[in-house]
Amino acid sequence: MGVGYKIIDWNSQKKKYDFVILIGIILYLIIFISLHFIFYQNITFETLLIRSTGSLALLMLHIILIIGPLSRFIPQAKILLYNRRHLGVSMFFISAIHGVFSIIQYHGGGNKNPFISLFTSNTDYFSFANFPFMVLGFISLIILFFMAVTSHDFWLNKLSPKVWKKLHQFVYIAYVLLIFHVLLGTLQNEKSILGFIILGIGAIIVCSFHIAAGLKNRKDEKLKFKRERNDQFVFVAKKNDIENNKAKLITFKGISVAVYKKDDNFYAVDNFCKHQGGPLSEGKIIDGCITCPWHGWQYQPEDGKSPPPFEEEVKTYEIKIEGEEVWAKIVK
Amino acid sequence: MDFLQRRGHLYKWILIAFILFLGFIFSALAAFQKKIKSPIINSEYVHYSQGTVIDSLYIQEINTNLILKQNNNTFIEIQIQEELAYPSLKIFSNNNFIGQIDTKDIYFFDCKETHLNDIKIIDPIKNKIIFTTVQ
Repeated sequence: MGVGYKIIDWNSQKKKYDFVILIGIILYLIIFISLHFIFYQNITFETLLIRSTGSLALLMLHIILIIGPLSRFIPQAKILLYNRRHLGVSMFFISAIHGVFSIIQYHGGGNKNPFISLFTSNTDYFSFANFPFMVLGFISLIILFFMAVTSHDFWLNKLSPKVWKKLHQFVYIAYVLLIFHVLLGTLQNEKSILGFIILGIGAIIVCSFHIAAGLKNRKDEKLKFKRERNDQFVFVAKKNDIENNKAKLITFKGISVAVYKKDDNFYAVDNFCKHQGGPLSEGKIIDGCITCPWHGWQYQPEDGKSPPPFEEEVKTYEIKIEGEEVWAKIVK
Repeated sequence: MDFLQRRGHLYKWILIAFILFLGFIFSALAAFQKKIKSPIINSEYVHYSQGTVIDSLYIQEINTNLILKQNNNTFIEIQIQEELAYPSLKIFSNNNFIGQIDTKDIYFFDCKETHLNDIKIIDPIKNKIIFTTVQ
């Protein structure tokens, strides 16, 4: 919940996360380089660097894209979500190495500006087999660059969460461009179909996870509430049906509300976290505050306000207890 | 995050999946067509530091970078890392045949007699110029 530009608040969780990322990168490069030296003895250093960083960046992007929907199905995966931006920035640096060396290798030897050569050496945009695939990689690198430099919460506040979220959804365009970059590039000259298979499996996994998460969203939001009264209260659940410090999600006329139980008291807040729209109903109460499962933003259940000195606030709704039943007044 | 934005996630990814599916199909067809009609060449460019670079071009057909250099002698340099699947690519300078590339090696074509005015690399199967210095 930063309100000014601060360097990263390193904590033990972030350090562990980054350590795992670093180890993963090193292990991948060692394995990749070793395999290439076994199967491609004549490969040059520049080509090895380009291939290893390119494939690593693509693998990291697949992992990044899977984390979001995975955490909707496996709560334990939410820990991967908290510091996903670290993975994203690391992925950008790896892909930047790939991009820079590719431009130097393939366009830097002449007397033309390498960037002009990138766009003018091949203009066969109407051919699949000879498509100027490097341009696709370059455009996606630009997208990833803007995402990396705005990954800090400072930009989230500066740009507003809505604009920031829209900017970071360009990752989907970058992903499609990168898949085509590989399909129309290196895979056009490969002897075996192994590359197609591996890339295809990756794309299927990513798309499947996201479509499954989308379907789950629809199912959650289509929950029918059979009991509604003239005073605009709707039935939520029986008191014992909600676990202590946890919530039940209800959606009524397009409004999603998380109804929390805290020590036999009930509180209803808007389901969407002010940070990045995370589902508060999937969080829990920690230190007396509703805690978003995505990035740990907190709100006091009594008034929806973030604990001082933070200023964020989510809307609250009136709760009425009648016997063993919990009712919430859900109005816009 | 509003209701529509949440719902849109599903439709967005269905669209992405569809686009990628088409991409895989068409690129696989293109690669297959390329394999049966063209040589499989995985060539790497070797960059040399001497000489004055005249032009640098990435030739997708043979997956290589080509640099034309002029020193005391003018020469073209290409390195091929794998055997060509069919007869050679032919190299012409000023419409004079100066050599061909057909095996795993580094090639130097000395064009001092003809100078580096007009270099062409011909694909004899397609009978097509795949590279030329003529603008």
